[in-house]
Amino acid sequence: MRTASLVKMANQIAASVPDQGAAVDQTAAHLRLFWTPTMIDTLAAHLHDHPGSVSAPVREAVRQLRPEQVAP
Amino acid sequence: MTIAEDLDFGTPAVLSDQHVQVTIDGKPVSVRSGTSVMRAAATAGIAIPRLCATDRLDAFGSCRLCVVDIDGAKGTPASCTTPCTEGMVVRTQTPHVAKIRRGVMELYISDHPLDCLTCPANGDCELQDMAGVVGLREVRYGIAGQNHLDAPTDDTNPYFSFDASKCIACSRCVRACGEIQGTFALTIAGRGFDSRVSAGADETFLGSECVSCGACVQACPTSTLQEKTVIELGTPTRKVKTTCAYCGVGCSFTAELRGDELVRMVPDKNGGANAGHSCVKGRFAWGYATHPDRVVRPMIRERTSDPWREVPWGEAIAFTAERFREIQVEHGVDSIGGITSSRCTNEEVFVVQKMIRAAFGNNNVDTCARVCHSPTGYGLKQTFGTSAGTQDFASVADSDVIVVIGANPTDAHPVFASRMKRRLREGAELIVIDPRRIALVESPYVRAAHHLQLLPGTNVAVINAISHVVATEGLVNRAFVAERCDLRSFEAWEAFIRLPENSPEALADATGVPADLLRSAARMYASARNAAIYYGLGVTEHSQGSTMVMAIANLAMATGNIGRSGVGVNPLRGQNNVQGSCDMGSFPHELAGYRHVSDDTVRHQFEAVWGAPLRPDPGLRIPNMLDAATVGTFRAIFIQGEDIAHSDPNTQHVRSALEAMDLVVVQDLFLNETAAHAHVFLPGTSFLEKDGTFTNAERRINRVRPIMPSRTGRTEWEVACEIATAMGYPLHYDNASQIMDEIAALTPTFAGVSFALLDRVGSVQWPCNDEAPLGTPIMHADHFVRGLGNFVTTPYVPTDERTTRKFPLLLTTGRILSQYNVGAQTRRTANITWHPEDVLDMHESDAELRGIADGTWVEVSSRAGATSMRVRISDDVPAGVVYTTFHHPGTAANVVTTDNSDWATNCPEYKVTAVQVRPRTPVVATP
Repeated sequence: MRTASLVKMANQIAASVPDQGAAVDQTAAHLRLFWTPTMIDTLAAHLHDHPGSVSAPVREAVRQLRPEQVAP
Repeated sequence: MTIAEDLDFGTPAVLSDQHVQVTIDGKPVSVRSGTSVMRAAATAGIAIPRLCATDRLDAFGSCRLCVVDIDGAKGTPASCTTPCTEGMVVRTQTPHVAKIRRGVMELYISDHPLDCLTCPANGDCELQDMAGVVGLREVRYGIAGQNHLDAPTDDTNPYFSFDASKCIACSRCVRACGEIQGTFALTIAGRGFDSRVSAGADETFLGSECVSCGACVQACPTSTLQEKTVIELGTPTRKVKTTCAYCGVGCSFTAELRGDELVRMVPDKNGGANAGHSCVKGRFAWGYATHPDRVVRPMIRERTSDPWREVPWGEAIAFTAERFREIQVEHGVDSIGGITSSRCTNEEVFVVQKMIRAAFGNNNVDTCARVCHSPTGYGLKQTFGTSAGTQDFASVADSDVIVVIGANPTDAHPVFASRMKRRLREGAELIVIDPRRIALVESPYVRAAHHLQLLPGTNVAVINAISHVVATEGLVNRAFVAERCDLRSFEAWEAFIRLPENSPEALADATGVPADLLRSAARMYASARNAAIYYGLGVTEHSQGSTMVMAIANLAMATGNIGRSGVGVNPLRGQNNVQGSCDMGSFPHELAGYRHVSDDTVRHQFEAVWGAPLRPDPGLRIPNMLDAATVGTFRAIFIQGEDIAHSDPNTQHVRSALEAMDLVVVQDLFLNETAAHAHVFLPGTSFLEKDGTFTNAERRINRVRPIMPSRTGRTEWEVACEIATAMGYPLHYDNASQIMDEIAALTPTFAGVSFALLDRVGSVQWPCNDEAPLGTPIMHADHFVRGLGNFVTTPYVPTDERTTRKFPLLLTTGRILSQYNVGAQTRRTANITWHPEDVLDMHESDAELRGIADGTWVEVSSRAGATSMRVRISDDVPAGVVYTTFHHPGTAANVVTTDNSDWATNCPEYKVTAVQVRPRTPVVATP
């Protein structure tokens, strides 16, 4: 997957989930339900090197899903 | 098969709880109060002669052939216009009425060509039949006097002829155009002996406002209005009931044939979706099935630069299976996938997704609903619990307020639009929410009470503002909410929607909709006894498409407009089987019946029946597949009946992705744009060759029956079975009925469905199971599928696609009546007469600013690409907005659309593209 696409989609999801107060959990749930494991892995690997490329809720959501790959 | 022949009762059925007793020719008959004598007689098996009457039209009483004798009544009243009254005694056959009828017929025949033996309607002509019924044996008046025998024939319409010399001025065509179709293109010009049918103001049929729906042709009792195929091929000799393969209305038709040659398609009066009506596509545009461009033999090639090589089916299957397996060995199990088609039957789609999940061994299956109504599936599941519209089409007859959002029913769903227009003529109010002034805003006898002409991309802001009015002006139906909805979710939604930032005044600048207009519309919707929302791709194809669907559902629940006739949330599905393809498990995260692949219980059920392990994690969506292809991790694709190189956004990206793959397999009728990038072409079957079912926008499962043998020698599901088998997963069915049996066994909402049931009852709407053995016309009647209705907060997030000085206009795209999607079918029919090219609608102020005149060639450029087309100056679009269709590959409108998409589903944002338009000489599209 193109990481640029994954970053764009993930940021869009986090900005659009209905309950912005629970954006981290809702983003994580959305990724788990609709993204392939490889897509999540790829984004997590990208965040390892470029943590600032996504919004804070995305970073936290991916860390929730791949704690071993994304630093707090 | 026990499908009854149509019986015409002469006048329409009457809705009344009261009954009256009458005696007709000595037979006691009980009918609903208000029923005509003619219909009552027909109910008792007594056929009264008639010419101007048919139960598809209101009684007219002009031909005087149906006169009867009624005790106590003066003269001989027309039975079609005389309602039954309690105790009435009627005689339909007396010497007196027989004499009158013979006299009437004598006058008709004295001014009618006596060419029955060479007339195309010979044997299928009501005038001929009635002459026999009334015992006409001589015509005393001769033809030497004034007559209409030299009246001209209008052959301008490509599909039917109007021979005025045969017209009896019964007005059935005129009434059909008005009452059934709602176009009012025909009239009776002149008076007395000079009366004649006229298209428009003495225009030709082609030049008039006629939309070629065929209602007039079907209504004509003579050969005056006659299908040209009947004139050319002769009278049909056999009939097969089947279902149209164009839009999501899913009209039922009787295919009438001579041998294996299709002569005409006649809409089925008993069709649940269409009740005997049709449009120009379903009625006439089926010639593509035998078009010379059809490819009927498999073809393969090593490289896309090589010429195609015709091969036997066995070689094509082996080549395909071997390549798929080689690619998986080299690049991994997940390196291949496929796309199912909304043009194909449920059975064909089910087998392809099964091939992918069980034989490919992954969940990389998606469907063309991805690019149209995937947000509907997501949004309605979140709020109501299931991914489908709530009503049947007939429900609109009980609506008092109809809201149409981002849909253009008269062009895209014309047969349903006719139902809607009938209700509007009866007095229902209409609210249109659309950037364009669609035809419904103002057409004969229809005028929208409110047209909220919002800026593209601001749907959610508008619907939030409407809900804000509902929530702040005491218009919430609190009893409904308390009984039927999840209160915690409602309270959160209510707190959100009441925020000042959601008020019409706060959002007016962003949406372009005046606050007072929006408030009036909101009050009208919320205050109605029954208010229904119908929406189309103008809702879903946005970056907030899913949010908008949920916002619509919120509004319907808050006002209690769910669960009964006349209300509801109604997605107007685009393709014939887009509902079905979604139902059949075509999405990468769901098995048939919208159950997530991670649900162990459901997955184990499938594994037990299929005898194969299934993956518990979601697969790739279409855009994900294309993205992955460009970086080399996705290498091969099976594409069933979809032309993604034409239909999907950002054509340059799509073509690059296809070119990057090692194997592209296309199964289609024609060598489409996508096939240019393919290595294997597997010929598909047209709907006239298919055996199976389609599911329409109202969840109606209809039979599709083969009219003619497969021209390819294979059904499409057989091909998928053979590929799966060659890949090492044995897959076999004896017939399509067995596939439906498997679908029913694995899909709770289809549990009661079988070919035997459909052949017996015609059609059913899912859920069809033990609780609803004949289906469910209206959903969520007592409780939502998910239990309590779930409100979802829907903050408005503007799209990233913004106008700039470089791209100052917003482009939105859509369909036109005569064409269908990428035009692969309709461009290969005479429908091309009405739409030879795509054009760009532009407001005159934008045109003048750029020195553009009507008909000027322009370049349309966006951040994604550029194309060129002609401009049509139109005030249907506001200043700042331009509009085009995407039916022609030459203009390739999707060259300019971007890869922005809905946040939840990746449905492309076709409806908002920032563009610039400049005059230029014509060029081909340059992605």
